[in-house]
Amino acid sequence: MEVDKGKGEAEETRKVAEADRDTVTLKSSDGKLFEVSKEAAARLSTVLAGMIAGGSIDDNGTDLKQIGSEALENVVDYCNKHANSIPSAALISSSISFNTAPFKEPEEWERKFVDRLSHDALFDLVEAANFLGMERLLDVTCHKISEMMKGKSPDQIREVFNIKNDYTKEELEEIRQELAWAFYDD
Amino acid sequence: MIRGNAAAFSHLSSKRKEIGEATESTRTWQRREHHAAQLATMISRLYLLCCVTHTDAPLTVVVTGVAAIRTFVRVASSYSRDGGIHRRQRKIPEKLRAPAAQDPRGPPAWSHVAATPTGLSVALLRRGFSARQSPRRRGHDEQSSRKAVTIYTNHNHLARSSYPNPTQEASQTSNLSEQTSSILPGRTPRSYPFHSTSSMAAAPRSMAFADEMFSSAAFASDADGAVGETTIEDLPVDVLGQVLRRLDGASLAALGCASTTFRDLAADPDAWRALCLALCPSLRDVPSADDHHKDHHRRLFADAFPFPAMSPASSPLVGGGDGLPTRLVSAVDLHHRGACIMSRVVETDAASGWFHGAPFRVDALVQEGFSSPAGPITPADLSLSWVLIDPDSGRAVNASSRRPVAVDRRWLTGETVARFAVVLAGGVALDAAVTCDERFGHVREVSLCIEDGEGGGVSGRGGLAVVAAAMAGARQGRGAEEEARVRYEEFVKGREARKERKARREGIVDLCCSGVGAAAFVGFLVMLTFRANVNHDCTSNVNRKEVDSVAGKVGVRGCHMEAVAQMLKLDEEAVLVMEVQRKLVLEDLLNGWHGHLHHGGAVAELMKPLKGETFDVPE
Repeated sequence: MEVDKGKGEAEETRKVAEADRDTVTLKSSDGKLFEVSKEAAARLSTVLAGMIAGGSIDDNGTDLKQIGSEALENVVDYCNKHANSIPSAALISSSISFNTAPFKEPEEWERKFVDRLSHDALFDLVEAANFLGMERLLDVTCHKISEMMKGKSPDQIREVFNIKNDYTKEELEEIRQELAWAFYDD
Repeated sequence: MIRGNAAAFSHLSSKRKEIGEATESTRTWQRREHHAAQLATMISRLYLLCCVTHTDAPLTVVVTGVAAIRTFVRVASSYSRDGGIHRRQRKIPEKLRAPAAQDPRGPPAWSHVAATPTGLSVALLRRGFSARQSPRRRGHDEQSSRKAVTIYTNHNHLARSSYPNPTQEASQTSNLSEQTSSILPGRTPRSYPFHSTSSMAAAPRSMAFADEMFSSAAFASDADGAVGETTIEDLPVDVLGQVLRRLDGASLAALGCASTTFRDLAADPDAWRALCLALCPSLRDVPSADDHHKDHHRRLFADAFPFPAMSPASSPLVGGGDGLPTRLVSAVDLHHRGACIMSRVVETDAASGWFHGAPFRVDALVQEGFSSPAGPITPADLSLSWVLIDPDSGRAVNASSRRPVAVDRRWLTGETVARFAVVLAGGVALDAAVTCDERFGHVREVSLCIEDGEGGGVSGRGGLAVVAAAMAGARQGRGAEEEARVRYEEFVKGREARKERKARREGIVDLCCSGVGAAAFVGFLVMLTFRANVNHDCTSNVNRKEVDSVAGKVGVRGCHMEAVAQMLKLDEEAVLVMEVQRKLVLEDLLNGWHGHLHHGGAVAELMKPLKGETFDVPE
């Protein structure tokens, strides 16, 4: 046990030395580098937190091969903005199971942040947030997408999200009958 | 799920502490290795299965075999990398270790995997799942979908992470991960591993089951996809699930109509159940025959959420007696400023003759009354949901307008009545009302009546027919809550108008009666006047010139009885005649002659029509 403790301490000092660098360099799929503060990254992304804790952060840019540079830029942008706005305690205490947790409405800046994105960029950002385990960002982006769907007719939804209608006419008629009450365009 | 990660992470780190303190007894390590080996086998089998089902080919079987061996080697070598248990190394055959050692890429690159704070990261068939969900990419992902079984556990530095006080959160959040996965069975591929988290956590040494060759290929294709157009169908299913859970019922239904991909997603029974319960928490307690049915909640929502439409013109009161429900279940929820203050299920036996005969009424409150724990209740802030369910047919109807359509104050009793009326076809209204006591600020009565167009009640039988017709009838689309108010106002206005019309009709009858009376009176007066005029009619045939000459002889100048003449509306001649008569009478009186005329025959002639009339002259 003594040996184990000693080893632990040694490790700790190494960690402290590592922690002196307070930014993390992330590398997108197309090789662009982004810097983000270590504290914000660990707080907002469970995946990055795990990587930082696990010491698997590469100083020359941690490869995130499945995230495009635009999406990663948005993620980093979000992290930086978030670092100045919300105290971390509020975020952690809000983590209750998602079916029961009252979703906190996006704040003004978060709303603006997602509003300016194009659809493509938004979906990429959702994927990135999902991949990096960024709970809050996922919440905010999902909220945005659901708002885009709200109050629309099927046709409008297809138009907005560029979805191809693959129903046959009979199927469509059937489902329309079934859900007649729901259509906004009636 | 991600929160689950955090939970498991802290759970793991607390476990790790315990383990650190315990001496590494050989038995423990044996057990751990056994776990690891078991897991490795399991995963390689799973992998094999995936490969066989997804692709043709003995080739993949070979590849899989190699992968399995390499996985095992990786486990073994990761054990060997750890300082404490070098002697375990001996058990691993040298030739099996070789491929890992020769792998030019070395240990797995962390950036390729979704490492989470649990140290456990799983991209379990991630692409496989999304590929199945997105037809657009199906072909594109064929290559990668068979790949990505990648389970990594992190190194054992976890206890030193920068997370704030992880042990404290461990106990409370570890149940959440279970909860999470039970809420969404099969919806979140990444939540699977949490079932095995505890066994994984028992093995703190790094384990890496990976097939980098494949996983990097998989992620490379992933990256390609991200560069091109990303559409909503490319999003992972669990993310779409999160989006759907934020939608309201109408949008969810509309989304289901958009394409077949979304039809399955939008038919998610859990999402509909959540919507039902959000609308009406008491529905949880409603017993239902087909509760287990997949579509039950969706149908219930479609029945109970929208307001019944007014459109069908068929009169509900004529409905056949046999189709009436024999039982009615009311799920009643009363909210005050968003907080639920009452939630009850009331069952009414609707088969008895007593119910049929009495006015339709359902009371949701059995006790005296109650007050809100949050303070006094203001009736205008109440919202009521009242769902009537026929348990036999499974149909339901919404009997409340949710927001009050009218708030009336009764000064006499100090009560305020908030009405939540829904106007139905046939000019009847389901009139759900909440009576609050102003003085104490509590709710005294929550009841449902049915009112017809004249403001009267409807009998139980008629009421049942109304409800049954509403259940079977069409539902209304958007904006129903606002419209309910408008409809109720129209209903009230209609009722007022009807009342007014009735009053007016009565007024007219009144007027007629009094008119007839007045006419009779006036007729009487007219008759009197007519009788008075008879006298003048007698004189009217007398020539004007004669009258003038007689008047000249008698010496009449002007009229001394103007007032009388005016009253009797006599014409000029008659006035003159009257005046003449008066003068003569006066002269006779002065002369002391009564009944004798000495002005000659002309006057006598003139007086002829007056013969027989007596003049009352005082002595």
